[in-house]
Amino acid sequence: MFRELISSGNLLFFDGAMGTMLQRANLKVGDFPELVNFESPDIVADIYRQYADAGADILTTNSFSSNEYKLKGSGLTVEQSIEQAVAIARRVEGALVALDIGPIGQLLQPLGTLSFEEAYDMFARQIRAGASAGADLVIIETMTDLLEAKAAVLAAKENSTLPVVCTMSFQQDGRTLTGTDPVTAATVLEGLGADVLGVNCSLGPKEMLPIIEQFLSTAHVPVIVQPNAGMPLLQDGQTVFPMRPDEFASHVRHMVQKGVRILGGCCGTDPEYIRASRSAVADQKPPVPRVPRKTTVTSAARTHIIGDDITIIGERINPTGKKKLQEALRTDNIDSILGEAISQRDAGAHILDINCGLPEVDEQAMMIRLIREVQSVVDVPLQIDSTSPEVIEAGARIYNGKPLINSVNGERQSLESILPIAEKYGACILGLTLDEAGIPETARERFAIAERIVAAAQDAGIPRENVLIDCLVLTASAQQAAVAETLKAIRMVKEGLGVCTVLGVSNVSFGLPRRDILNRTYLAMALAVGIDAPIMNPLSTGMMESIAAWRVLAGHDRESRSFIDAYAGTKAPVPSSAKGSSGDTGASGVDGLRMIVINGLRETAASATRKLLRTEAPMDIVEKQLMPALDEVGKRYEQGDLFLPQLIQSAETVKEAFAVIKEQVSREGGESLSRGKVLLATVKGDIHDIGKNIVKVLLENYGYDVIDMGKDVAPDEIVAKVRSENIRLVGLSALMTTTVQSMEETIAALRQEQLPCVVMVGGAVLNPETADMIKSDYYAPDAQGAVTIARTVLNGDEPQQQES
Amino acid sequence: MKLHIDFAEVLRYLGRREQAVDERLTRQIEHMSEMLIASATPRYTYGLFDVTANEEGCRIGEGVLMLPGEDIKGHLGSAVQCALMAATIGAGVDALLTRISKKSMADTIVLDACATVAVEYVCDRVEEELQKYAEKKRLHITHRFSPGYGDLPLQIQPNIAQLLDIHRRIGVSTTDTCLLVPRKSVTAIVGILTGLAPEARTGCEGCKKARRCLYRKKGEHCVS
Repeated sequence: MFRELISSGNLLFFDGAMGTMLQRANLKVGDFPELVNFESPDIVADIYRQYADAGADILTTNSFSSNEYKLKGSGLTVEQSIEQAVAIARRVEGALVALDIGPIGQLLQPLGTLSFEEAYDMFARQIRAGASAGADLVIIETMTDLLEAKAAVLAAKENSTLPVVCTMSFQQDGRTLTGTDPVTAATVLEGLGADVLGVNCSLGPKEMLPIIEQFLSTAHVPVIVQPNAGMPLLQDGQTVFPMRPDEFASHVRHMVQKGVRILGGCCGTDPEYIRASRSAVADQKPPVPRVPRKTTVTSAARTHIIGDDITIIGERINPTGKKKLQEALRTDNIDSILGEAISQRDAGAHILDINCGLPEVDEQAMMIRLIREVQSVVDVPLQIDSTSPEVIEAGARIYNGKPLINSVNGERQSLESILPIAEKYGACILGLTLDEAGIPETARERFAIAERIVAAAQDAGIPRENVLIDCLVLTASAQQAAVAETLKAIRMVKEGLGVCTVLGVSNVSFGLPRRDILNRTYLAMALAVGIDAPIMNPLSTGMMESIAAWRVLAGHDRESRSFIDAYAGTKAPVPSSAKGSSGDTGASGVDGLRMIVINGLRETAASATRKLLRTEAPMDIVEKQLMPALDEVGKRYEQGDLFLPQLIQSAETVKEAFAVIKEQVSREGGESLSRGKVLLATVKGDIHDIGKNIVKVLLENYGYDVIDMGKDVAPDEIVAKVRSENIRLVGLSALMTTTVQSMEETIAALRQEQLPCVVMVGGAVLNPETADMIKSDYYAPDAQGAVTIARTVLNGDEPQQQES
Repeated sequence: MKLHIDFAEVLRYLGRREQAVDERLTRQIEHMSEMLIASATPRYTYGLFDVTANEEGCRIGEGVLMLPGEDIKGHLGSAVQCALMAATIGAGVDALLTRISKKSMADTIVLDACATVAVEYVCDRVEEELQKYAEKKRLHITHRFSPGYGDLPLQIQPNIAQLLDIHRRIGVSTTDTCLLVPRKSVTAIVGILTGLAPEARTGCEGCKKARRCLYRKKGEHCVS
């Protein structure tokens, strides 16, 4: 019914605020707004009648907070609450009933502690209850977190056949409280299959206008707007909504003229606002906005258009042929992978490829973790790269935004398993021009596969603009003639199919020396035939220079501004043989490294250490240079001559030096420098991890291998890791009294399993007595204290006197 | 709201004693302050409620919330009204802190201190607004008192959050463990009274909660 109404092109009206009306009826709305459905159902029904009389086509159930989390303590189950809410709205004949679903009220991981699946389950339960109670449609509203909105829309699509309306609330700065912009919201929600999407609450109709315009120029489905009765004002601690119905209605008329199709009111509105709006648009027929079709991918906070200008896809988070990354994946060293993400973004990558396929790594679990963690540190969209459909689906599901899936190819099995995933999650899909017979030799054959992929994608319900094609580079060393064929294929795909093209440029140079020269030249050739998005190393200066130059020559860089900003005043690099020991800042030799540590000159530590390694033994550098320097800094800190960041600056300088030494030792096959393994975690429920991270830096400095499990870590995960890694020392941190409890539970779990490990604890509210009470072995008053404990436990050093 | 991050305050949170402040640290603080301001979205909200003290603590509004304990009674004193307030500098700061922590913990520590100063700055603006309101009515206000101070349990955090509807209004939510997210967020209680704010202090030495008190953690103290 609802779907027919919207496809008829007519204007539709939702009701206005419920809370405002309840207050007016002198009903006290306490902690549980849904209780009023049971205590005064007739009053609620009467409010609905007033709205229907005023012209509302759709009534919203009074069930905004009917989720497990918010109903806790109300004595109501989700099903009871929703059944009653739907039944009351149903009393009004002729109106459609929309099951109202608001935010859960907790932030999702990694910002908060609620997992995506937990959120999904809560929404699914509400949807099932609403569907079986007979709601006509679902309205998911007032969302501020895009990922939470995604969980809700997926729950609605997977647990019912009801139409789905989804709105988000924006602030005056044009973003939601968690930072999503309207274009991104519209792109992602439409991709997930919402029937109607738009804006509600937070702002008045006037302030909403620029946001609405962005929705209208992005969405290909009808747009809904439910404003407040003006901007809320705080007057003497009370919230008031100042706008009168006639003014509200004149704004509504304006919105309809712009193309808004579905209207209603939020906070502060009443039936008069709906009546006035209805009559103000009685003579209006909204235009159907012409919305361009563009190839876009998004994170939660930004939308990137592919095809308008060159798009750089960073290739570095892929273990193929990268020993360091393989090692990081194997040892769960997420931090170094995140560092890779940050440096690629800082270097100018627009999209980052994420691949974690390694035989001994649980690829699916790692993909989920990497996507979540990478998205918490960079705001560029990601490319989910795997050969496994299960991994791709798991990644696309929890991805916050609209991803690019890498990849599908012309094989039937690939098309059948991958395309439905891209369709379901509204993702872009990268198609490789190969099939059962392998990579065809000629451009014409590759074009034929590309054509097949585009057609199959469209048949699967994927809009054409969401398909990208990679014509596949072969290596010049093995198949020299094929290199030009790829370029020919790119041109054919661009001209014949009009879709965006991607190319993994650096493959061309495998097996040849000075790959950088070949890569950047091939990149330039590919750009000339119309490649839109090279997959490449954004840290490669040569390739980035080629791109900067190409943007000037192809007219993308208007007035050459970016180029001038980047290169004015710079000179072509001097050939490497003529280079001095750059970055040395004059400090050299034995005393140099010591001074570098004391002064915290992190940038120069590596080169100074390399130099020193030519004349000194690795262990000598550690014991005679680094440690004494660090001890000296530590002493000055303890005496109150230094601030903590200064101490840590020195510590991180030592870390740089250590990395160089370790590399050398492992290259020479020498004895490991490790003094033992320490596991660190901030306990379940706690998200404050700065203290733990400081401890980590210092422990690493003293030669310990730290396995950092991050924050909000469940006891069973810690137990499993202690067992699998054979850990002898565990460090736990907790900030608040409420989370010291989960620290106690973690310790109990370790003891229960009789794992032979020692536990040290630290955190703001801890003291030796509490540490004792929760049965830990050691209390670490600060990071230095943790090092002392590690020495005692792992290296049998005499415990030093420590103040607690 | 335009944030201002006071340099001396940042040093105080970094543990100012007699240290010399060198050029690197100065630059670091300036740089981190700039980054913080660029990614912060300061917001606040508050509500005014009647308050009555009873044996267990203070009753807020028409019984919508109970603040248990002796310390809140001492804090609110003879207040007849109080403001519950919440302030945050937004989720962007959490993301920034995480990002910086992957590159430099030294920078992270400085940034964290800047963020604490920033959220306190927002709280100060709320307090000024309350001060104005009180002056108009010839009333006075107390300092801010937060869950976790003295014997006021953190467990009331979700109730305050719900009462002020802070998830919807300023994007702050509570975890199952009663922490606020985004991390740099504050809830507090400010008393509004006819007489002067209670000044008499018994001191922290006699307080059984002193070792866990969040006031003391910040180097401050409550009014009891």
